[in-house]
Amino acid sequence: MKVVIAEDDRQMAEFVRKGLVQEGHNAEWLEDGRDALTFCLYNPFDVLILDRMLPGMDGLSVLKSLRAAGKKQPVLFLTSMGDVDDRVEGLLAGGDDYLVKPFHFSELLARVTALARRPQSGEQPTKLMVHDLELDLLAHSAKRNGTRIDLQAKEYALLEVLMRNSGRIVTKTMLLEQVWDFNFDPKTTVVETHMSRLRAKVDKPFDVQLIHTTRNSGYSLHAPR
Amino acid sequence: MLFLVLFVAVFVVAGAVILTTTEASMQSELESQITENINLMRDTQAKEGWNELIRFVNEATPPRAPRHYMFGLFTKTGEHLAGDLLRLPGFREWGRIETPSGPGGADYLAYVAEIGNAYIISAGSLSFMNVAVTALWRALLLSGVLVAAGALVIGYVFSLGASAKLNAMAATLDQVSRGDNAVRLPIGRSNDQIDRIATQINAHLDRLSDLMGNLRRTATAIAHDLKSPLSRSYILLQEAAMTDDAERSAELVENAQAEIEQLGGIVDTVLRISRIEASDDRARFTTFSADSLVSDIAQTFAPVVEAEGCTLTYAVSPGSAAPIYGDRQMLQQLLANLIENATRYCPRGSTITLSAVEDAGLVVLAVADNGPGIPLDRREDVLQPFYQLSPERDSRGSGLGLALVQAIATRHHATLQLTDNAPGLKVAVTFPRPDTLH
Repeated sequence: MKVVIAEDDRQMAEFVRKGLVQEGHNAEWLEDGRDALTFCLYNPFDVLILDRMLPGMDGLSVLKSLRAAGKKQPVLFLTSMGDVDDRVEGLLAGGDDYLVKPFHFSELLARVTALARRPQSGEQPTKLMVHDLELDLLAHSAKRNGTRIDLQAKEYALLEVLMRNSGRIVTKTMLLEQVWDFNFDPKTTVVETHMSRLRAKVDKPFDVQLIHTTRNSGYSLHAPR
Repeated sequence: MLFLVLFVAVFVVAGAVILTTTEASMQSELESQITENINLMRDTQAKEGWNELIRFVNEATPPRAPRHYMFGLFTKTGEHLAGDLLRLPGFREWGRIETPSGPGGADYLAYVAEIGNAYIISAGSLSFMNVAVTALWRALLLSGVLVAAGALVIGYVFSLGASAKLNAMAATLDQVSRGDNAVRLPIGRSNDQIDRIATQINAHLDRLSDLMGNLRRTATAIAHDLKSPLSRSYILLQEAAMTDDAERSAELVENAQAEIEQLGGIVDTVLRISRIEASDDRARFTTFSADSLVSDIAQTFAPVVEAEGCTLTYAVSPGSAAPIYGDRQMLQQLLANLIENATRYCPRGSTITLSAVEDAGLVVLAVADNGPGIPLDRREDVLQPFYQLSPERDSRGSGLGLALVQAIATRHHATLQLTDNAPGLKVAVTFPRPDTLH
């Protein structure tokens, strides 16, 4: 995929660009807000990584102009201002996700990948299938290999996020935001504990493991490769 | 100055109104008296004849000045028949005449009427009216001057008091701006507007110096607490640079990263506390039931607490469905911090109890444990940022958890209470009635 990076910190931009290229993506780096806007208006791209504070034109204005011009590509905000209010402001302006500096590259990669694959159309599936695991979004129930799995509310929500992102890494922070609506990092092992309970129900009784842990990155759910 | 001009203008208008109305009413009184005299003379002539009229006129004329009323009876040719008016005036009906009689002469209002072949004149003195109007003029002028002078003096005395107070305020605020946080404005006993403003300013100064005091303590504590992960990561990175073992080097770098992440976490929490404390923005406040919040948190943390060897219980009690008006994400963090604190400091086998009850119309969220508790005299201190109970700073916590809880409670205008759970600690957050917040 093609990622545009609008970032005035050279070191940060180079770090992100290199990482994305290593992962086999195409990355374009622009230092100035106005240049970034012009580039995005006239060139095809999949995801824009946008710093909040840029020379020429600040990130929020770039995003607003982009949305006003009808460009719907997902935008990930990068910022050193890490508070909820900034996050909300960015999301209200039409941003799709938000990441606070400093961040782990794997966190950025997971979020950018999730954004790029996000279904653009309004069509909502009623069932999710991965290998022999089936999630009924209407009945809020899970079945594996025809056997019903009893899940508690949080376990169900966790499984749903993993299955919607199947094949991609979902980080701990993404899970905290999407499953628990937490905008803070609890000091205890909330994600790990619930994940191990989910695994005990979804994976343990079966031969094939579907939920995988990627060290220092997060979790992913996928069929055996 | 403007006050004076306005005062004079109002006074002149009011004076003119009083004068003209008084003059008009006195004149109409005089006119009716004169007309009555004429009618009386007509009656006398009609009923009793000319001689009686002449006698009446002569008798009605008092012998000496001042004469308020004068009369005259004349033939059609102007010949004087009776009365003290000696000449027939040129006008008929209403008119004015001057007579040299009396001291300095006087102006009379007169009515000349025809009776048969004669003219009768009835006149009334205007001098009495003039005297009254002049006296009124003088009285008005004098009282005007007195009132103006009095107003000036009283105003000046009052403004002396006010300007003294304002000067004192200016001096105090000057001191504050030069960095003295302890001074406060003097409050008078009169409870006037200036005193009320001074009370308000003092409240602001209290809050300001609280914030500054917190800031100072926080800055010192931050410096202290940031120093250790900083130096640890520095050492780790140094060691990584010196080692030849690639695997060991990667491990060291990873550990250094973890230290730096911890550092970032502390900075984030401090920023969050200060932002929560500094603002009173309720853009993200909604109304939700206490039960939905507490049961959600209980579901999330029960397995975590269990994994640590403790138990988290949550009982639905009457009143737990009561509504809370607040920022749900913040309150999630508040409860999470309290539960995590309890888990951290309680021995294995302890029980942590989460509850939401309605007490006298107020919603109370509480987290209680049966662990070691906090000594009574330290319960205030633990709410301060970076404060830790154990003297050797405890690596298990940053000392920010309860400070954040306090900040979130304050943002919700809720009160935070740490009480003895005998044994253990009970932390209760009491929310105000939602209607008092709007």
